[in-house]
Amino acid sequence: MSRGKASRAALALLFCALPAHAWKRTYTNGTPPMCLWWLSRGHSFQIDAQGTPDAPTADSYNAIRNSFQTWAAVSCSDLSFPEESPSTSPQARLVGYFQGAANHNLVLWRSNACRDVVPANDPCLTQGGCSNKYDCWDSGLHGDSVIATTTTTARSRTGEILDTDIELNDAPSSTGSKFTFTTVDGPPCTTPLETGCVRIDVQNTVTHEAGHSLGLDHSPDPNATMYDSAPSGQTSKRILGTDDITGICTIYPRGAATVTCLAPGSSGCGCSQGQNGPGAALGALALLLHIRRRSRSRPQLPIKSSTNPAAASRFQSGSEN
Amino acid sequence: MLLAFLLAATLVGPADVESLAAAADAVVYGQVVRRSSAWAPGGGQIFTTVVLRPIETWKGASAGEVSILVPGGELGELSQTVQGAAAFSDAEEVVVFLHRRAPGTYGVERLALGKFVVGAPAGSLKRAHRDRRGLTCLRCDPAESDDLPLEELRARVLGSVQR
Repeated sequence: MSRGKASRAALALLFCALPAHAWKRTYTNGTPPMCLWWLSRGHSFQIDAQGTPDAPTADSYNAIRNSFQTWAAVSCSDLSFPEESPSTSPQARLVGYFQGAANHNLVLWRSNACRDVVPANDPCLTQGGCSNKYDCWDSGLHGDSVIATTTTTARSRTGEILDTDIELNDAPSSTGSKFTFTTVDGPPCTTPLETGCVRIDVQNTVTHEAGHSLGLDHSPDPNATMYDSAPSGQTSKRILGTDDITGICTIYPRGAATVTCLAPGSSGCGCSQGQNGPGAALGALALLLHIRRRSRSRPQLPIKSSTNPAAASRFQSGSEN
Repeated sequence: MLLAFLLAATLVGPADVESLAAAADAVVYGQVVRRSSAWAPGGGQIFTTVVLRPIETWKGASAGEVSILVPGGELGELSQTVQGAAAFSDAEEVVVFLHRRAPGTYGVERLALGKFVVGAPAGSLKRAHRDRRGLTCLRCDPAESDDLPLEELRARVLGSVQR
């Protein structure tokens, strides 16, 4: 094994062996499951011009922009989120990844409920795809209580993300009520007709969903934007927690290669939540520096190579970024 | 080798068994007998059809098999992951809270909140466990149990249905 490969393998193994931290990564369903990551640092996004009737268009656009900017502003990473012109084509309100076509990372509200617009005999009810076909929120797939979903497309062999789309549920439920999206600063709403207060905060929601679009899973840290629970009227997820910043900078460290990994339990060590935190990063960095110092006096690095090819190849995958 | 989908989801609770049972058209305790994934007509999204053989039907009409449509899945070299949605494994024993999409076809109520995996450590009674991974739940009470004896789950569902 060359010195470079040994260093990379050692670094990869260390990323998989050091202590636990709260933030988590998300994984593909493939075999082996791979954690998700962008080859580019961040991604472009496009807001669908239809917006939501709940909030002024400019305010909802700005809330979405601020959500991505929050992640871009993390100084120990180097993410960016260029904005494409808002999409005005009704035919472009398509979620998912279309091979051979131009794919955009959409943020859109669905204002029709599929139950109201999909014919009872339509094949999409049994095969899926109603939301794209009829531009509707498919509560029949999820139930009425889902507020937002993020669809992220990646290469299953590497985990490289190719496309991500965020859908927000602006459609009436079966009882006729709907979620109300707000962009104001204020206290949580306490009564149905109250104004100037926060109900479903757009920036709070999209900042969280944007974290998923970057490959972060939920965190057990209640102070994290990626925490999996929230009270009504919450705005605190607009601001990243220490755990979010640690996670994103470990995956996308400024000036260094994106860290890729296998899911825990896969063949190879796998970088799980508990295995790829900042301690792992720092430890790995320390070992890498140590290796480099030693290698100056030793052309052939006396490091045992990993007996697990997956570990080395996994890091090679990351080093190709 | 190309695709994987991830759906991160935010929803509103509650997540308790009684609320789920009340909202569901059917509650089935059964075993996965097969799964198949396909592109949705029009492309863009992969969906998986999970076929369940009921062991007991706690709510709704009994049937020999139940089809459940879930977003995401694997298709050849492609993999779609739907974070927050229920995911199923071959031969898995589950309790699912379902809402009807079409005759014989259901979706899972409230994504992963509507699915419990049934299992038993050696020598122990069966338990039902729910994995909330991938869900952001507003108004969900942390005290709402994700792990309980299967008998308790059955009793709570049946009690809710009878009310």
